[in-house]
Amino acid sequence: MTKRASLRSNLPAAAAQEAAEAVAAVAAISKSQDNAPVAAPSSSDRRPMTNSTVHLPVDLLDALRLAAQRRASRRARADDNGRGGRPSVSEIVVEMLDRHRDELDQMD
Amino acid sequence: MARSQLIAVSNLKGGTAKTTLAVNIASALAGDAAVVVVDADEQGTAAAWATAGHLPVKVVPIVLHEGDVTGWIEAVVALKAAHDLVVVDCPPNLGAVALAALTLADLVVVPVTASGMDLKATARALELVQQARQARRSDKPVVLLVPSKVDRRTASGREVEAVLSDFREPVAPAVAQRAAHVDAFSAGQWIGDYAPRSAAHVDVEAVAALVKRMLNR
Repeated sequence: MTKRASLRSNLPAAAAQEAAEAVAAVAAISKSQDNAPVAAPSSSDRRPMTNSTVHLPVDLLDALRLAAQRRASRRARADDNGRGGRPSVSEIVVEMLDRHRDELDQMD
Repeated sequence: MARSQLIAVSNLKGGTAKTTLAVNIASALAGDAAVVVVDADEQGTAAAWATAGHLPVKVVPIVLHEGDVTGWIEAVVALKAAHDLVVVDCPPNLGAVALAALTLADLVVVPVTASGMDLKATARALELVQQARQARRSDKPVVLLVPSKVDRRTASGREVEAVLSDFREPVAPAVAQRAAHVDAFSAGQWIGDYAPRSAAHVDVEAVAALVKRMLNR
């Protein structure tokens, strides 16, 4: 695939200036993020986790695996270095359960 | 006519009704301005919503192409030059598009649901907004936090506004979790056409009115 042809020469002067400033701002933020030290999460930030065996219908497990793969692919496409991480079914299950936490807590 | 402005609807987490807010706010503001929605999310939900042709706004998909942020910015700026208002439906991640949208936006609308994960993502999004302000040497973008998919029957739903006020950014009236939003999407309509004067429509109009005030329109 080819890159989008630059529109800059066709933009009005003010718009071209705005685009140039935005590009410079993105570069500045990206640079500061690249240089920022990556702090390991402290033990107080880390949510305690455990492994468990859960009996699931095959179709639901397939759907979870597909969703995890789609997510990893999407992250890889969005990441400048193409890193999307390992597809994680657990991550999706946790996210969905967190979204329904109140319901879960009130369940009879 | 006021100068052209840009709203980014952004949160680093999915499932916060970002697209619902982007399309409905744009539609609510389309009455007296030329408004366009940019679907920057590769899932293409906003573009799918517009397929039936019943929305009062045009939805233009502009996604990141081979990591070409400059091309994305130029495409959005070109669209902005031709409209009064551009509403960007950002992807739910901390990628280059979200960053680029923050560097162009006058206002960032951040929908937040009442969950701990959302609040963490919101804190990270606001850090990024702060970085964008510094890089632009400006007080822009301004932020509007929108309590989203709120269920008042739950404790967290009743407390979400109070929790959001701790972020020290403006907080909009809540948009409740309502089936009408799902049905409006299925019908290819915005809530003001699908269920005029319904509670869901009233919620959206209240947020849109605040957005309009914040943009000084």
